[in-house]
Amino acid sequence: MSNKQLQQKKASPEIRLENVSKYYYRGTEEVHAVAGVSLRVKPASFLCLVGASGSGKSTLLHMIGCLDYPTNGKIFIDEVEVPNLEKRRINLRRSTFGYVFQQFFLIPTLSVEENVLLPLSFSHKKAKPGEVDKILSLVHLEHRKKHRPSQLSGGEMQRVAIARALMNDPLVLIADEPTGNLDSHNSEEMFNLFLELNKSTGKTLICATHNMELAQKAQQILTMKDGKLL
Amino acid sequence: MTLFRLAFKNLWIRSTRTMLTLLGISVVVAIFFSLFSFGKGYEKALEGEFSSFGIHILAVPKGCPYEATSLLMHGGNIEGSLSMKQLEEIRQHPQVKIASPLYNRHTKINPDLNPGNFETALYAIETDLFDLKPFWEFKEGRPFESNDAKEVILGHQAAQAVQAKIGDELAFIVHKGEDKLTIKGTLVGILNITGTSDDNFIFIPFAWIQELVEDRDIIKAVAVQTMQGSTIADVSMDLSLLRDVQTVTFRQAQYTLQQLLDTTRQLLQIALVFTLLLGLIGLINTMFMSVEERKKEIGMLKALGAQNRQLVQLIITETVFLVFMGSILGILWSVGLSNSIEAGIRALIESAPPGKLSYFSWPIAFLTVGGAVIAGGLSALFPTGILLNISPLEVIRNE
Repeated sequence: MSNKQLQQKKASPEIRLENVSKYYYRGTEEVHAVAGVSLRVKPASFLCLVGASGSGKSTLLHMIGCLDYPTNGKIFIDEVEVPNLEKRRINLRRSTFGYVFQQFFLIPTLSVEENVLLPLSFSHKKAKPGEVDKILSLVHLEHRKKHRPSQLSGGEMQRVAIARALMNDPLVLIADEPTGNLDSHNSEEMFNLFLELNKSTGKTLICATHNMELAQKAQQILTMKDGKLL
Repeated sequence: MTLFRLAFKNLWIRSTRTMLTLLGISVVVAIFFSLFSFGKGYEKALEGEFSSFGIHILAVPKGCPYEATSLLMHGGNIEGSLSMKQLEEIRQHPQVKIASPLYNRHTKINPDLNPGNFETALYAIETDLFDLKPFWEFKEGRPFESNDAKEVILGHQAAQAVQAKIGDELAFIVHKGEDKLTIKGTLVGILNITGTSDDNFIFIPFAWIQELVEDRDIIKAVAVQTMQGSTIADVSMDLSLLRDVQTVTFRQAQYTLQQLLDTTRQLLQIALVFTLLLGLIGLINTMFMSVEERKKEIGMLKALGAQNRQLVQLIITETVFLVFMGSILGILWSVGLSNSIEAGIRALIESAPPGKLSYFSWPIAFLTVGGAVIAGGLSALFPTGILLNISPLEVIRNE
């Protein structure tokens, strides 16, 4: 399936990993970040990867999201293997995913609205009238449109990051420790928002967290330890 | 939201660095533009000064004839002298129409007898010099009655400095050996602006000064106009065969002075190349730093789907905008400070021609801005090597 076909596809895809491993070297020592993981993510599902720090959940998430490459094994999206694309094509492939990270990575010089619109600049698309308002209302931030990131709370900044991730209408939303910098109240709200988005938009949500309590809200929980799925 | 807007916001948020970079670029461009403007202006001023002369050949004592010509034109003192005998020999050449002796020396207005403290060059001339300087027009008054009349003519600026009117008695101090001698004459004429160094000079009849000073029978140069139809170069060659006489045609003098200027300009251009290189290195360094400290931001933009091409475009937009604005600022600096730079040049080059030395040229301005923008755009390509290798993952992991 080409990037364009993938981008035009409206329904969330099925993601399948087959014996995926990721090794890297720390000096001369070979580190197995992910070791022979196989899994299947159903379309429109909400999956949580849990585990302690260093268990390999982030590495696995990055490979699913085309931010990293497996050393061994295969990744399929709708039964089509994600090829080892050249850099330019990988960038395009990434635009079919939406990313949310522990650090919000908002551009401090831009307003909330401009940050949310940023992914469209890269895909040469124009926002439809009212689209930004609609997305900001999904994350309950329509009243903060003209504010700068420095004028927002941590929870609000993470919601802006989610709105930005949604702007390109991604098929899959990938969240790596999205509550890592939030207090318990905001963390709870964030996961409720993920649930709401998953139900209302039918987008696949894959989230890595070490918070077991929050992970209980997901449809599917996978626990990782030493690079393997338990 | 466009990439252009993001580029401008990036520059705006780092306003101190942006301003310093702009300042650096503007200084380099100002030096570059000034050099070209002044080179062109100097050439035009020199051409204007020479083309207004009716003098075809200048006969001077042995030495460097070009230096003597330049000094004589601008009131300087030349080494050596010619005699009345040599003047007569020149006059006897069948192709010489006018041969007018010139004598000059430094003088100042006698402050006890006249207001002001004006110092300038005093030129002793004969009345036929008026025929060799057709651009001389009298604002007030008339030429000398005779070559030994006790009369004075002032250039336009000299008249303003002395604040004298026709009929006034003027007193000047000249040196006679170790003594100071005051000479007095009646102001009979004030010249209109000529746009040449003549505007600053005081003129008296040639025979009069020969009576007064110790340099009797001494001539500094002879201005020659040839007969119509004669070949100036041939006459010049003939006159140069006279004993202790050197000749220079005004075309040769203009060409030689221009060559001297071009040589100086070439030396300056070499210095300029290094200045430009330094400017470019500074600019590349700034853009390197800008990319280095925005690695996280760039990595994130990649994670959002930004392609390398778009990020390179972002960096080039920032650089080109900086260079464009810096170049405009540099040209404004150059134009704004042209009077001060001109004064500096005149202080350094005594024989600089009068008139406006700075010459604003739109083509040079466009070429300067265009060249700077192209060089800036190319220099922006250097830091993009870092940019292309930034992985979004690397940035995320570092967190």
